[in-house]
Amino acid sequence: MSDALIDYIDAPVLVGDPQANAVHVNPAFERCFGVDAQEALGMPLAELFEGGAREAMLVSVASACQRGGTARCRIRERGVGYCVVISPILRDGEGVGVVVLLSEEIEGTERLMSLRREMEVPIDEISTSLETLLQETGGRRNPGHRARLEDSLRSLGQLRKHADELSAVLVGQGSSTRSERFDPSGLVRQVAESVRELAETLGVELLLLAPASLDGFEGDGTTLATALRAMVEARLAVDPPPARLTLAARKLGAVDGEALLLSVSEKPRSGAFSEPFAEPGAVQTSLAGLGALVHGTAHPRLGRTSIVRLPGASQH
Amino acid sequence: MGGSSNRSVAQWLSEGLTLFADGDREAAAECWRRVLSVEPTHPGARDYLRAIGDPAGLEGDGVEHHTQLELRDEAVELLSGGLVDEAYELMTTTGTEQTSDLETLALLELLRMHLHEDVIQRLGSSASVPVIEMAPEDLMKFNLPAGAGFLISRIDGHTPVSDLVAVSGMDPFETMHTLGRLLEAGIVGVAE
Repeated sequence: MSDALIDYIDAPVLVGDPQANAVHVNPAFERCFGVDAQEALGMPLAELFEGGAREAMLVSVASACQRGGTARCRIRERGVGYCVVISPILRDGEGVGVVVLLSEEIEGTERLMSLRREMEVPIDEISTSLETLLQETGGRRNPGHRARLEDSLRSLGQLRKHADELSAVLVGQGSSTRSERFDPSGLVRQVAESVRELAETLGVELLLLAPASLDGFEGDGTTLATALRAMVEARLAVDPPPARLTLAARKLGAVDGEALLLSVSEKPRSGAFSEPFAEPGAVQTSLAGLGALVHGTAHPRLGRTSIVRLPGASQH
Repeated sequence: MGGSSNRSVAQWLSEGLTLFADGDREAAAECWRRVLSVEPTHPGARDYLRAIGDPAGLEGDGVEHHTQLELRDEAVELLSGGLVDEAYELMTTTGTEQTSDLETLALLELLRMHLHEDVIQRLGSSASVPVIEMAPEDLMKFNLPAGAGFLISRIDGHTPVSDLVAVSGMDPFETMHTLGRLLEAGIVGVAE
């Protein structure tokens, strides 16, 4: 019987050696991914996955091993989405292995919104009950009870605040522009993964052209990812959809500081595009809010592209 | 925009972005020019104006911008004759890829995508395995650039293209473009 603690947790976990070959596969991973732990031992971690997930894992594991820092990616296997955290195991600053933790993503914003709404009623009920208790008993008779009830009400207030923030994020109304470090390569991969199934269904070949990582960018990566995804989805909604879609990210060296260039390029199924893709107004507005310029062009031989140029996003 | 002369630099920048998003480039440029009238060296306003080719943003590099536009036109000419690789070479060896001009950047992006896809098609797929087709002594006859030499050193006859791109640590486009050239030169082939 195994004595490894990770064998008793419900989330899939892999442990790799310094060369990122599997040295431990927990039963949850075996169950979720249909892999036999004994057969998997010694195999490169990325090879335990298939298709786009394999590519994403290969890049993320390599990134975690080379940079000695945590890498994250999102993958989809067997119809289930996972958030993956890849952390190096360090001893005296030297990488001696890597741990991969996969947590299942909850499907869809609607489900999250519905859960948020369902939270509202019990929060209100608990709040009312605590206030009633405070007024009717705790407040007058017992200072200890009163202190505990007041603590509970404060905690409940905090919970309500977090729930409200969750709502704001889900409807895209989080603090107007968040500034956070983000990796544009990871962002593009994440968008590609989120639409890969739809693209495959429509017979659209989806290509990715971005380095393993692009460090040092700061800005509202969440809004950027949402806008990029909307750009891709808008193209997939056209009948007929393009034969091929390429998502790309790279760093530009500009005169007044480095800029980020993202692009969505298309190849037609037949004939040629006569004009650039007309981006949805909401996409244009949200990218303008980030300080980005969007520009499209079409060429009869090369297809068409829309570029998003975000100046000054690099902090290097 | 009348009656709004008291706006701050940030507001003019933001207004310009909104107008640009609405497709009104001239009105956007007017907003960014107003920023320069207050802060003549404002990097953000200069950058936006340069991106849309407005003369107010090109102060000091107007001639260079003009040359870049000529090179872009020349590249489009080459493209109309089917010379994609030559058009890309022209735009990259002359430093045009360093431009902020949106149309030039978009054309360059299309060229990159086309060349990238072309190499994948020639390879069969990104799962194909490249192999070296020449003996080491024959390779020495080529004056290979450092990037190509490094890439050749990573080709072991087992690693598929997608993994090769990931493990090479090179820019993925440059890796594929170099691979394309090695295929053309007959130095690299595809495993059966």
